[in-house]
Parts: sequence; C-alpha cells; structure tokens
Amino acid sequence: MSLNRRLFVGGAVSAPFVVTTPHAFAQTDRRPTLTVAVAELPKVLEPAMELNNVGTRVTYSVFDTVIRRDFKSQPDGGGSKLVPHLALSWEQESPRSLVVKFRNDVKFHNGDEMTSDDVAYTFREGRLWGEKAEIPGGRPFFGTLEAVEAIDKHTVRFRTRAPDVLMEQRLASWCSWIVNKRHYEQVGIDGFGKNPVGTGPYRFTRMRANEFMEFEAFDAYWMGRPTARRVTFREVPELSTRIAGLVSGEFDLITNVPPDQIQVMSSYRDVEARSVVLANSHLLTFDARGPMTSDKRIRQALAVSIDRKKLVDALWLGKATIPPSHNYPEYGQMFLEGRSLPFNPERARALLREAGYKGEPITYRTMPNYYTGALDAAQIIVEMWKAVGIDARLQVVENFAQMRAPGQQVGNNSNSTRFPDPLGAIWPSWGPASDFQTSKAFAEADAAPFNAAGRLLLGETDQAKRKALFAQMLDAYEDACPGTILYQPLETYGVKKKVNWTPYSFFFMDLRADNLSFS
Amino acid sequence: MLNFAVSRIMRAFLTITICVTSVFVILRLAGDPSDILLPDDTLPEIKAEYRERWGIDRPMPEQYLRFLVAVTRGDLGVSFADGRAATIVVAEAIPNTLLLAGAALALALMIGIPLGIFAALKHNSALDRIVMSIAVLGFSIPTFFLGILLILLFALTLRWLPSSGTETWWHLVMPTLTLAAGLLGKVARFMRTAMLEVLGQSFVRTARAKGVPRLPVLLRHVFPNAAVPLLMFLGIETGLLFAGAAVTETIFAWPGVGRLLVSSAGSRDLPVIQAAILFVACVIIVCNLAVDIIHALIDPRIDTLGAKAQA
Repeated sequence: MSLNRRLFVGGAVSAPFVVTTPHAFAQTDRRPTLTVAVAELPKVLEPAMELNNVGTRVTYSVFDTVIRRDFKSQPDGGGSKLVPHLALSWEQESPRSLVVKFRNDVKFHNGDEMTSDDVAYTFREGRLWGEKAEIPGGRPFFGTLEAVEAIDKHTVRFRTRAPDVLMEQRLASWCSWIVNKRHYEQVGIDGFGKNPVGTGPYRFTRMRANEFMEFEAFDAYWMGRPTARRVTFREVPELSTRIAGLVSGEFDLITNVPPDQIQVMSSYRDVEARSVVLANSHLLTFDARGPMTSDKRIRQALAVSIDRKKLVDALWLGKATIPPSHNYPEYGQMFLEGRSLPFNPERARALLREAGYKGEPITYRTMPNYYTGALDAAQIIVEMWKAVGIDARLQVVENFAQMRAPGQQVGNNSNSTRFPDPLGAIWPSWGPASDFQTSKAFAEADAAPFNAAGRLLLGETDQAKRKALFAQMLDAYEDACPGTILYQPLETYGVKKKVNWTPYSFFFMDLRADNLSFS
Repeated sequence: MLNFAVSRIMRAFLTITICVTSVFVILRLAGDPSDILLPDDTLPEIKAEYRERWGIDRPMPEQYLRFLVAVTRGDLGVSFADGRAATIVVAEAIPNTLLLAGAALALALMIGIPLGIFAALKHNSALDRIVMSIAVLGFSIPTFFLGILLILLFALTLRWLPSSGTETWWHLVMPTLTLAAGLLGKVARFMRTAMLEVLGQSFVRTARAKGVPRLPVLLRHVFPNAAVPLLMFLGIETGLLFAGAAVTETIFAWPGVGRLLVSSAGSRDLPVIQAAILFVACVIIVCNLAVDIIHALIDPRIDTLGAKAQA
C-alpha cells in the first residue's frame, strides 16, 4: 500500500482518536482530575526527608499525621486547633509518657491495616531521633523521645527523656507522617522515597524525575472518597509558563505566584489568585560581633526605625502581615496580647545619641532573590535608616557564606513556626543550639536572660507559668535585639475558579474531600 | 591517521580534566550547599551532620583527590538532594536533551541549508534579502523571548499546543522551534556565504564552460565544497546546541540536562552539577573530535601526518 496525501491526512486526523479510545472506554470514574503546576518537585517522597515547602505540599496528600492541625478552625486558614486524626484519643499517662489510641479502620495504599507496629516503626530511633538516625532532620522534632512502644494492636506509648508538653504538637507536625512498615522494610529508605505507601487520600502511581508525580484517588481512604480521580503535580519552573498553562486550561492550580502577578491573575475570567499569610517571618539579623551592632542600643535603634507598614504596602500590596514580634495568634493560649513591633524614629534618634553613634557605616548584606522582595526591602530600609541618621551600606551577596563572612553587621533570614508554640519557633531559631548563638552573632551575655527563661519553659507544664516565661523570653529577646521581624510574607496560588480549594498558612496543600471540590 | 586521532583524543582528555577541575573548585568556593539545601534555621549540629555525610566537611584537596579516585571508577558521587547516583540522575535527563537537540538540529539543517543555497543562487536579489533578514531575526531574537512569544501565541491565544512537559509529540513542537530558530538562521547565513565563495571559484566556471548543466554543477561541485566549512561550523554549533538547551528546557519545563543543570546549580547539588557539566563537556569535545576526524578524512588538504598543509 502506498502512502498518498489523502491517506496521510486521514491517518493524522484519526490518530488522536485511535490513541485515546482505550482510555475513553476504560474511563468510568466521572470525577475530575486535578493538575497542579509547581515551581519544583520534591526529589523523593520519604515524607520526613522533605521537610520543606516543596516536599510537604505533595506528601500531605499521601500520608496522615497522628494528630491533625485543623487549619480550617480559623477562617484565614491559619487555625492551630489539634484534632484527632489517625489517633482517636490520647492521654498524658505521666509527665514523660503519652499514650495514644489509634483508629482501627485505617488502610494503607497496599491494603495493609495500619497498626501500632507501623507507628512504632515510623518513630523508631534509627529513622528519626537516634544519634545516627537515617533522617537527621527528624531530631529537632523528636529528639526528646526515649522510646516508642506498641501496647496493643492500636495503642502506642510515647516516652520522653524529660516532661514534654509539646508532644501532641510534635505528633501533628510535618515530621509525623505514618509510613507502612512492611513496604518500607521491603524496599528500604531509597526505594520508599521513589514508591511511597501511606494512608492518605491519594495513592502514588508514577513519577518521572523533574517532570511530574502522579497519584490516583485512594477510595478506601478512611476520611472518605477523594473528590479528584487523579492528581498530578507537574514541575514547571518558569512562572510565565505556569500562568499560561493555568489560563489555557492545562493546569488547575499553580504555586509560587509573586505579589506583582496578583493583578495579572484577576484579569482572566476563569482564574483567580488565592493568597494566605505564611507561618514564616522574614527578618533582619544584627550581628553582635560587628563594630557598631555590638551595642544593643544601636541594634534597638535599627529595629525601631523601620516603618514595616510602608514595606508591606509597597512590596506586598498591603497583604503581608506584621506580627507582634515572635508572637503569633496561632499560639492560642500562649499568645501574648498587646504587643507590637513599634515604628518610632524619635526613639531611634535618642538611642543613637545615647550610644554615641556618629554616622559610622553599618554593613547590610542581603541576597537578591533568596527571600522574595529582599533586595527591594533592603533598599527601602536603608533609606528609612538614613532618615534617622544611620549610614547603612548595602552589599548584595550570592549566598549565606558570603553574607555571614566577617564584616557583616546586618543580614537577612527567615524563621518558620514548626509548630504553634514558642518552643516550636523562636526557641529553635534563636536558642542556645541555633546558628546565631553558636556563632556568637547573638552574644552569650546578651542571650543569657533569654536562654534562662527558655530553659525553664522547656520543663514547665503549667499553662500560666508557661505564658509568663514566654513573656520573659520575648522581653529578653527584644531587649538584646539580635534581630527584628519585618513581616510575614504572602504565599499566592493561581487557581481555576471552578476549583474550590483553600490554601493554609503552612506549605501543606490539603486535597482531602473537605477542602477540595469542583463547581 | 592513527597518530592524528590519538593526539586529538589526548587533547580532548586534557580539556575534560581542566573543565571538571575548574568546576570542582569554583563550585566549592561558591557557597556551602547545606545553606541552600537545608532550611535556613536548621540547627548547626544537623547541618554539620549533613556536611559530613556529603563529604564537604573535608579540606578541598582531600575532596578533590577522593573525587578523582572515584571518577576513575565511574563514580561521580550521589546527589545531595535525593541520595541517588549523580550519573543516574544525569542519565535520566540525557534522552530528553538528545531528543530536543536532535529535533532542533534536524529542523535547522532541513530548513537552513536549502534557504542558504536559495539565497546564494538569488544573490543580491530581493528574495536574498528577505531570506537573510529572516535568518538574522532567527539568531538575533533571544531564546527566552521567542519561547514566551510562542507560548503566548500557541498555548494561550490559539490553544493549539501544550505549554510544557513531554507527554506527547505535540509537546516537542514549541521547544524545537525555539531551540532551532537561532541555529537555523546561522546555518542559512553560513551556507549562503560558503556557496557564494565556491560559486566564484574557477573550477565552477570551468565546469559551466564545459557545458555541464547547472544542477549537476551545484550538486557535484559546489555543494560538496561548500559543505566542508559548514561541517566544521556544525561541529561547534551542535555541541553548543546540546549545552545551550538550558533556557529552552526551563521555559518549557522540558526535563533535560540543561534544566537539571540550572536546578542543581540553584540548590548547590554539587555531584549532579559535576556530572552534568562532564556530560556537556564530553558532548562538545566529542562533536569537535568527530568533526576534526571527518574533516581529515574528507578533505585531502588536511595532512594527518603532521606535514604542512598544502596550499
């Protein structure tokens, strides 16, 4: 048979139908699919290996935590109420022991029933918290553990070396996803990272490195049938390509949309931007080893002469949040009312006079793009400081090593709230084990009152005393002033209007049925 | 001929060594990967543990010696990001780059060569100027800009083509056009110049004077002679095409070596960067080596024994 033009054109026209027909016949599930374009995909899906924004937005749909933080308990998606999840209930057996009763109707994606053996395996010393744990990043979350014991098929005891009031928070954190013991033992940590088995609403089907990860609905999910038939996370590093794909209908949801694109989103009929303020703060650090910033009055002057509202209005369309210091409403009972980050140029001038500051240069180093808008913010802040008589010299550097090299006096950084308590935020970020204290940027003498209050807080279980100790910590921090918060940035997603989905104040993307539906 | 090939291969080996060493040193001077790969408030002891695990806590000369010993065993280390062998991470991306660069090269040659010949034959005419204007536009327009324009037109406005990914053959269309545009323009211009140079040679005049028809003159005398410099030119350009696909691959989310290089550089995944650079260096060197050898085989003026080239 010879190929003529007519035959060729006919073949070309019918080819797409021939190729897709088997799928069409196989397709009986009428639920829609969801395609999410992300700037970057996680390298692996071992959930405790990828404790970052890139990893947890995927693993949140594949795994479940022991206890669940109910972000929707607040209308802004920043709720911190802890609710039962894989755990039915829990009880503080003693100050050092928490007994958790688990559900008996939970299945893993491979059909196994979830039992206390899986829980004990997940939290074993060799994986998360031992000296040579496979995942060193687990230790800040579970380093207090002494043992995890299965009491019966669905009950587990968590024993700690010292009283740990935060164990429930830890069990609701992004490090407490339960893994399937049988599968993990069969394939090992590397194999598990490429082919995970959890209990979440979506089951891993396939992935292609640096391209996509695909999941199908796990209809035996204990919280109910997922609303999407299939979820695909697709890596699209270029922002304009992500936006074009969203508008053209290739994607239903895109991540990492900068503030200046929010207007662009709203110019399209069936697409909108949805933003949430993150549980993460951008801040400036003041290095006590610097010639000027060794004087805490100068550090305080630097902090009070920043007009944060202007920064937020100029750089974040007024939508970022200025928290009342390292003190967030999501702390619940630990939140300290009536605090703020003051803007007081007069006070700054007085502090500078008191310190005998004569306009000596202060080096301010920043990386241009590591933190969104950091360079723009730096240029504005330098002008604000100039207005009170501070001569700040901006140096743009490429990496942290250059930023922290000798000569730095002001730098930038960000602090995340690992779990909503001072011991899950300011303490790991600024406490004795932090980079700031070990490097002496937060000088020992300056840090002493802060450390003393923090150490007492670690062992305290009485709520009123805990709150008072936190107030002491924060007072000590603000007096020493080793850094100051600028704002909590905005995380913006581009979403098809037909997709009913709410972003949370953390990097998780909740695609469970109670947070994802289609109009 | 053997001596010629051996000397070229030795030179290629030296080039690769210099390239890999430079990359090794520069990467280690460009910042600590643990600062980028781990959250910025990671405790120092955890960072130290990762640095030890990755072997970047040792003095640089020791790291380099270990690296060289490992390379001789074909081991380029494991990715800091996912713990897999760097060679496997890069090998997974190579077919995508070969497919894209191969398609772009084929398109550039299929269109560029005829355009160049056509322009040469219509020398100094309006058609020549139009063709050359298109060629200049092709290699002047930045890849990034052209890629975005194509996405705006074909994905956003007309909705004919997908904007990113590799699922179907349709996904190959826009990246290929973007990557081929520059080379196509260069090939057309180069072909035109080479053709014009040969067309003015006395042996062409002689052939025409002897009554050989125009087409056989072109096919048997002009084109083979004009193809020799084009071959040399393509040797360099093909290597650059494979190496320079990074921008195109990033725009269209095409998971090739170029994009891997960009993302690994962003996250300071040193073993993967080294493996990717080694691949790119090898491609460029192999292309040049192949061209050198082919040139020596097809052009009798090249003396492979080291004697002076004939005039």
